[in-house]
Amino acid sequence: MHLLNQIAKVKAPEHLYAKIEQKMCRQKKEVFSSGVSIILGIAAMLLVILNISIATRYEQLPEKSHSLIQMMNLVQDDSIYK
Amino acid sequence: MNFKQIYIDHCDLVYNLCLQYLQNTEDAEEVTQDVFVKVNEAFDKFQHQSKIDTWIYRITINACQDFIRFKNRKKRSVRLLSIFFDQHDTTSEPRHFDHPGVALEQKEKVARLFHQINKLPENQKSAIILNKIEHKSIADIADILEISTKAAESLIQRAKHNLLKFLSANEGKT
Repeated sequence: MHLLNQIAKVKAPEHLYAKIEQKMCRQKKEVFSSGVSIILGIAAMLLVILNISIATRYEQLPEKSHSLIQMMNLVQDDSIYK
Repeated sequence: MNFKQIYIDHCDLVYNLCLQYLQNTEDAEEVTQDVFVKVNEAFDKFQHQSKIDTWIYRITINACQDFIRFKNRKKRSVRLLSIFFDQHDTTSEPRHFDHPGVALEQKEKVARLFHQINKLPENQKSAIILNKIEHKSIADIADILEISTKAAESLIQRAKHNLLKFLSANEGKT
């Protein structure tokens, strides 16, 4: 057990600080890219939900109003062309 | 206090503690880097309720224990994979004893001693390293391990007892 008392202290290698800085930079980039991917994922999910809700609303409309113009409550008035 | 100053003041402390824990320069360098990345991230949350040295000791011990657990997990999974596939992964092999603080003529004996220390439970290993190699007082060890001084004292006693038991059993074998 006395051998443990004889273990000398050593100096930390000089290149360590540069490596730590590199690691911190890399982690910052990873955090940024994971943030961007989360935002993009949420945006894609919202688009899908919007798409589904529009499609289901369109499905629920009566047969007659299936045309896009009627769906948008526009009255087709051909008299102006006459 | 900025990060560079913290690094300058504590890099030797962290590196040496990592060496005592892992007994390999490459591993110690890797964990020292992780420790300072964690220190940089958590320094804003540090509430100065304990000394900065104590706080850094705690982070280092946790990082070393995480590293050892990760290595052991990797070893287990490689062993499992090797049953199904005929693979041989050298990255999971135990690192050789490489401690620059140990004199060459004592290297073999100290390596054997560390081999037995590594068999101790995590908290006993921490206590014996802090007490016998880092020369910390019982009060400091209690502070670092976040236990009472009485608990620290009995932890060191148990660690010494177990270590002597391991060593005598080992001598009996040889």
